[in-house]
Amino acid sequence: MINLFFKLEMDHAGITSLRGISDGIQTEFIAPGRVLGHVFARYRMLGNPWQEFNTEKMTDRWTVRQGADGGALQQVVVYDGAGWYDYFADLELTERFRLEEDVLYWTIHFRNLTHKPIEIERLFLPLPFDSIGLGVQSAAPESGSSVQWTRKDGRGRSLVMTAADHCPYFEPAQTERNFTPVKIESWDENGVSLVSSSSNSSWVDDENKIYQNTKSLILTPKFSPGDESTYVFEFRWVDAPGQVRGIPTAENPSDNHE
Amino acid sequence: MKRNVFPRFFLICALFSAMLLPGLQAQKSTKKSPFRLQFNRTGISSLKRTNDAYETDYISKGRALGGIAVKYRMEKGSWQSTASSGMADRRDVETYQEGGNPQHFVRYFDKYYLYHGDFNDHYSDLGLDVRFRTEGEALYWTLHFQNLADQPLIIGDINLPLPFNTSPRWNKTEMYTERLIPHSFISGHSSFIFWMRPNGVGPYLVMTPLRECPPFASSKAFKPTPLEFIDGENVFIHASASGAEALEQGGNWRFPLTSLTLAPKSASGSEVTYGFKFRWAQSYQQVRDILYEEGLIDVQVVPGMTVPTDLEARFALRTRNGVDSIVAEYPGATRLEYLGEKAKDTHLYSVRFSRLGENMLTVGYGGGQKMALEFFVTEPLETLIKKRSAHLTGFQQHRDPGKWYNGLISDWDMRNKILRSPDDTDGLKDFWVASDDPGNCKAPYIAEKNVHFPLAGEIEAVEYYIRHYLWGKLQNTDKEKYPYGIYGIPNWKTHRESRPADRDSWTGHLWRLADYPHIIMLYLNMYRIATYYPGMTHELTSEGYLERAFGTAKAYFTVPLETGRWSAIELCRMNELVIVPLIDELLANGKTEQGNWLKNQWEKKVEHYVNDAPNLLHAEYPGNPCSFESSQALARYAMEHAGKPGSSLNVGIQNARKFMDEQMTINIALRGWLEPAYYLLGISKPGSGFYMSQMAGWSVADYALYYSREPAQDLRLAYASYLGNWALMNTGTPDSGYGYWYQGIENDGGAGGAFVRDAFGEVQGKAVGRGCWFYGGEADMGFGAALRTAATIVSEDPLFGLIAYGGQLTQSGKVIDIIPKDGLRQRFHVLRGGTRFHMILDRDGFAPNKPITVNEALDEIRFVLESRFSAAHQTELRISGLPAGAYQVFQDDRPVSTLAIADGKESIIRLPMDDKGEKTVSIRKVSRSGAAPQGL
Repeated sequence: MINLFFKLEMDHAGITSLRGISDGIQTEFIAPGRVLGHVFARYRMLGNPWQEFNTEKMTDRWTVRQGADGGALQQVVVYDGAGWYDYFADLELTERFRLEEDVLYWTIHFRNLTHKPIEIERLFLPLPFDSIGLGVQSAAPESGSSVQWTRKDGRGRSLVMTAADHCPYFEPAQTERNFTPVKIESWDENGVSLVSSSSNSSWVDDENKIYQNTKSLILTPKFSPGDESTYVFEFRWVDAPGQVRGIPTAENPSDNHE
Repeated sequence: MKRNVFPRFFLICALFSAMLLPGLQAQKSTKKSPFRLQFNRTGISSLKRTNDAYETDYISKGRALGGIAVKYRMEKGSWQSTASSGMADRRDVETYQEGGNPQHFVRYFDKYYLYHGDFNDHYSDLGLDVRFRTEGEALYWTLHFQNLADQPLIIGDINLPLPFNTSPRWNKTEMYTERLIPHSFISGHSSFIFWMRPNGVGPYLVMTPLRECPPFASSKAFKPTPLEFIDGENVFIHASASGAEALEQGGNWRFPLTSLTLAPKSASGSEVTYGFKFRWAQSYQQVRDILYEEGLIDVQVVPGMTVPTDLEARFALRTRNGVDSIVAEYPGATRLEYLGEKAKDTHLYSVRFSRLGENMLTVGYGGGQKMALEFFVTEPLETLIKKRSAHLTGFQQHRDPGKWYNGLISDWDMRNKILRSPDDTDGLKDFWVASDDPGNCKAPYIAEKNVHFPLAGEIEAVEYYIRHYLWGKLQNTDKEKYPYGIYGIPNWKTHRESRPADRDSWTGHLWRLADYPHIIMLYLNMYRIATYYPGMTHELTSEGYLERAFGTAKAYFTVPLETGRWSAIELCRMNELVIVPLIDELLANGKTEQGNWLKNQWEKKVEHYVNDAPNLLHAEYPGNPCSFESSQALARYAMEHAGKPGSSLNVGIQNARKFMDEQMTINIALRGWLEPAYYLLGISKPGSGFYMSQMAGWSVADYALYYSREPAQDLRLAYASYLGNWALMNTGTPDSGYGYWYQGIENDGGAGGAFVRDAFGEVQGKAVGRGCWFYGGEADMGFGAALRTAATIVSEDPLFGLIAYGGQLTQSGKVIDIIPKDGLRQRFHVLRGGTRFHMILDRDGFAPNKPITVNEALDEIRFVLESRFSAAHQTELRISGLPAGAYQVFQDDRPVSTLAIADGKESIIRLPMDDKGEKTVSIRKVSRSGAAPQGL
């Protein structure tokens, strides 16, 4: 996918190559052989043992479509996609990469397919950026609102990943409903954790405690108000950390959005 | 040289005039255009109002207004389809001025040759110029077609996609202020569409077809523009090709569908210009005024456009063009009368129909232009109410002790005359026949009908349902883990038999909030039946039913929250208004603790909605009008309790009034109000047949009767809302085959839960042509609300004069006789000037075909009371709005009580009834003071 700002190469799972159009030296931001777009979750359905949801291992349980939508290019991949009756999994994951002028959006949308609550104890997004050529830093570690990658030699533009503070217009209402402004729980060179808890809840023993664990992400039963969760990230090019909204600087520590 | 008739390409030249080109801004006229436009390579990509209250973009982001799809053919050829969307890479863009106005062009062109004949410089068959141009306060959109071929060319479709910003969102701010509700009336030359924000804040964008050639276009080829077909968001100027396709698929369409023949190139008639005009209106009235100013017809109708055979309709046509003719579809079964010109250019008519089903009146006006008024004629309302209950109990209940769903009242397939079941769903989702709203809404309707018209067999059917299907099955008993909890989709059996690893079931699947109010309502109505009609219930006593009602209400506020994080405080649900009368009954029966517990929950909810102003369009689906029955009940409670001595409600009266008006504004914004067709007027989600039309229609009626500042206007909409969805009840006489939609005596009393407006559509995966769906689904929630709305209302209407909604009114001097025909004959209101008189019976009814007589001063009222129960009992008459003074009440000319009316407050008169006979009741003012008359 190419627009006036980004040049992307994709496989079904996400971005295998990410470069800037105006970058004269054509820096490759994705590590060789890696993909930006994989998602890992550890979850359990009420009364059942912990399980893993790992897109890297889901070699054949996805459908992908790529194309133009309303003048923008996008790719949407659905893991364990389900209809009304034809669901065979506990969770459905939809991811969207979309080029919308100077912003690359990445949407992650989980849906509980079961009629029981699901607890997600860990939700981790690998960020497979080129750690050899790039330096990575959080522009605001304390707030966890953004991560930035810059060439170690200081050349070219930096890529900043920020959390969207509102659901983009192109997301359907179903996705918009449970949009959550992201709080990055923790990050390192491997990726970011959106949910990270060491659950000590005891669902198996007592169903009434299902909503008492506040650290986990709880998806309520299918078709109830909290049965889905949506996170959206935005990638932009910047010349300096303070150029993009949402990246706090020493001069503007809060950098409130207008 | 004779042209070859191979398929050829279509040439589009689209001319867009934009007023916002920065470089040209200085050259504009001094008056700023009210349109802020942006263009992309297709057309208008952004349309906003200059200096608007919100940054509402009327065009859906990523799309553009200006696209077009055409089907055409040569005289003996087959249809060719072409669309601007397929020519995205063939266009030029340029900017220029015309007449001092900056112009922005996008020119689409085609340079490919497809045919194999000799070279010919006519490489297209059909040329089209599309132009957008602002002129003063208006934006014009014109389409000029030109036949480029040397033989006649027939245009079968001119299809205009309207990509307006109508997709609903969950986010409140976005939904209220940046999304639009479309209102479209497709009816020939008097078609119109307007878009408004859900919060009702103007302006509204009004699109009207051009009746006159705009000043900048050539008048040579201009024709007044009709719209004759709609398919989703697409409207059609001509639609003979698409219409024929829809009919072949099994669809249908009632308007004549036309094509246009263009004469060969350069001959007279080889070109045509159509067009539309956009203007801004600040209010509904301004929309009406625009229709009038643009040469269309502004229509007002009472009591609605679904009309029982025993009621008269009146309508007003306001047009600056003369009305040439009104032609009834069934002249022999239509009695039409001209009542004169009420105001300038406003012509009044009355009409009575005797043929059941759809009835069209075609209005000819302006010398050759036409529009249609679509009425639906049905049986008397009382017949409908009774037939529906009879059908539910007679045809729709499973009675087979061998089945796990024994007692279930399920859905009736009118097309195949089959009662569906969990074993035979016809491909419908499981819940449709066994649980959720469709499965749970039927028994409450039967119960509510029997509160008013008791029949032993129907009451027995409800108790059979409770005993065999509901208690201990669909609903948890009071001894189970979640007392009174109700199982949701797919059905209770699946959940009760679930195992830990099952994904599609759970013993705790009791979280669907929406399921609870139906069952609360069922029990409360059974309590009323047991109270009013001793001996007619056998399953529980009245106290037992009241206990069940409370238990279910308590579960409503606790179980879904516990099992699904679904808070009853934070979401309005259908039928939830039952909580208020339940609180009253609990307290009246000495169940103080229970009553106060429930009151506390309800007041939390009232406080949340009034003080926190949550998103009223946040239901199970965004933008769904499901909240607006409940929201009026919340607002009414707030208005009645805010600031009152002893009230525990933490709400200010000003906030209460603000909330009431806001929720009513949104309720009305979601329903057809200016659109005169039976499937639009008063209908929530116009054109859908949505049952919420009647549920939130109760709200409009309650508001109009008790809180409106313009009750006469609001009553028009309220009654249309009450009547509208009765059109989806399949009912008839032997002569009419027992039903307009689906014939056969087995279907007499069936109902459709949806209306398909398009020629061919789909409901729940079932293909269906324009008209009523063949399953009832959730329709009974609407019919139940209709029972709560039914009333005979005398209104002094500024346009139609003194009329009776739901009644037959005659006036003789200062005496007015009204025969109630509202379906229940229990509620009577008079709204004239400052008078708001209300007279409501708790049981029995005003006698059929006998008048309620009132005089102008309202100091004497007489009616005949019909007993609907054979044993001795007492009927309560709540009366308010009488002029101050002392009154004497007579029953069969014997004085039975006195009233001292000081300030118009409500009084209760208890009338003894001893058998199934009739008693004459009269209420006479005996003195001007509020003191009781001496000697009584």
